[in-house]
Amino acid sequence: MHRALIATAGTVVGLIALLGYKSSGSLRGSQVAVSPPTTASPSTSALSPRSFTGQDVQYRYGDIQIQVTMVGNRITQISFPRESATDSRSRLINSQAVPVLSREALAAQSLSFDVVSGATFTSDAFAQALQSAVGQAGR
Amino acid sequence: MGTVVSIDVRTEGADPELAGAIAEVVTWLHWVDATFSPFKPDSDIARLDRGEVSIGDCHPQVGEILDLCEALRAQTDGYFDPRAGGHLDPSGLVKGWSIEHASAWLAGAGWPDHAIDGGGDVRLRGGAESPVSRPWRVGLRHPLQLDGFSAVVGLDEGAVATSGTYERGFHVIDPHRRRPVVSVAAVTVIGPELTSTDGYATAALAMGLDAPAWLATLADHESFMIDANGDGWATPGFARYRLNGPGR
Repeated sequence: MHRALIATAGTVVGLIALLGYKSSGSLRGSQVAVSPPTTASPSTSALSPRSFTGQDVQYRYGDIQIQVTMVGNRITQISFPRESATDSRSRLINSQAVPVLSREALAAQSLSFDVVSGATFTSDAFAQALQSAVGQAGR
Repeated sequence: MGTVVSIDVRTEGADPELAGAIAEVVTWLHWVDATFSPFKPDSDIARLDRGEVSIGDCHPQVGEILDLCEALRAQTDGYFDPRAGGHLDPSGLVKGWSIEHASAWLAGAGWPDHAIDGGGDVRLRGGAESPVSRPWRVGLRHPLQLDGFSAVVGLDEGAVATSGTYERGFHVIDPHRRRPVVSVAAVTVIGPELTSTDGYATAALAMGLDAPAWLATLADHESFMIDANGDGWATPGFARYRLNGPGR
C-alpha cells in the first residue's frame, strides 16, 4: 500500500471545540447555583432551560448572532435569531426523513477507515458570537 | 486552494513508477490551483473576474469549467452559483472536478485501485477488486466535534463529497437570501463521480434546511446532513453505505 501526502499552499486554521464548551472564567460571576428541583414548581428550578442572545458579530462574509439555550452550564441548543423563521428551525423536517441520527459523535479511536471526508468547525466568528451569548449567562 | 491532497494506491507495482505517476498528479493539481484559484491574483479566474481578460484569452478548460458551472446552476435552481459571494469563485465545482480528472488519469496510467482525498472530497476506485479485496472505508468527520466522526461509509467505487459551512468561516452564501448559511453544519453526498457529487454537496449546503427535499430527488445519489445543533438527516438509501455509526 502506498500513501502520499501532498500539501498545496496550506492555510492555517484554528480549531475550536463547540460542544466541548465548559464553563470557564469567561462566564462572568460565579457558577450558577444549582438547587435541588422541587416537584412543586419545576419551572423555577435553576436547571430549567434559559436562553441568552449574544452580540451580532461582523466578519468577512456577513454577520452572525447566536442565541443559546442552557441547562445549568450546558449548552443544549443554539439558534440564529437574525435568520428567517425557516432557518432557525432546530430540526430537519422532511416528509421523507429517516429517523434522526444521534448527535453523539463516534470517537476516532474506535473506528477503522482509510480516508476522511468532511469539514471541521473552525470559525472565529462563530466562536465569538457563541462566547458573547454564553457570556450573558454569567450576568 | 489551500487543500491537502492524499493519495492511497492499492494496485501493486514498482515504487519508482508510482512515484512518477503521483508526481504527474501533483503537478496537474498545482496547475489547477494556479489557473482557477480566485485567491491567486494571476490566475485566469481572478483576471477574468477583474475584467482584465476574456474567456477566449484563458486556457480552454476555463471555458469548460464555467459551462459546467452554468449547467449546475440551472440544475440547482441557482443555489450553486460561482458568483454568489460577489466574485467569480468556481471552487465548489473545481475541487471535485480536479480530483475526478486526476483519478481517471491515474487509473488509465495503470493504477486503477486507489483513493484520492482532496480536502475532504474523495474519489474511490477498485475497492473489492483491488489486491486488498475490501471496500474503501471513508470516515465522515463530525462538523461540530473535534476529532469526532458521524459515520464511516464503505464504497468500492464512487465519490464522497462533504461541504461544511464552518470550515472557512461561514463562507457559504445563500444566493437567494444573500446571507451566509448558518443553520446547517455539513452535507455529505455519495454518488458515482466527484465533479457532480461535489457540486451537489456545495449547492445543498447553500439551500440550508431546505436541502433534504432537493437531495431526495437526486437519482443515484445518497445524502446525509448535520444541522447546527448536531441533529442528522439522511436519504433512505444512505444507510446501506454505513459501516459504522448510530444503530450499527
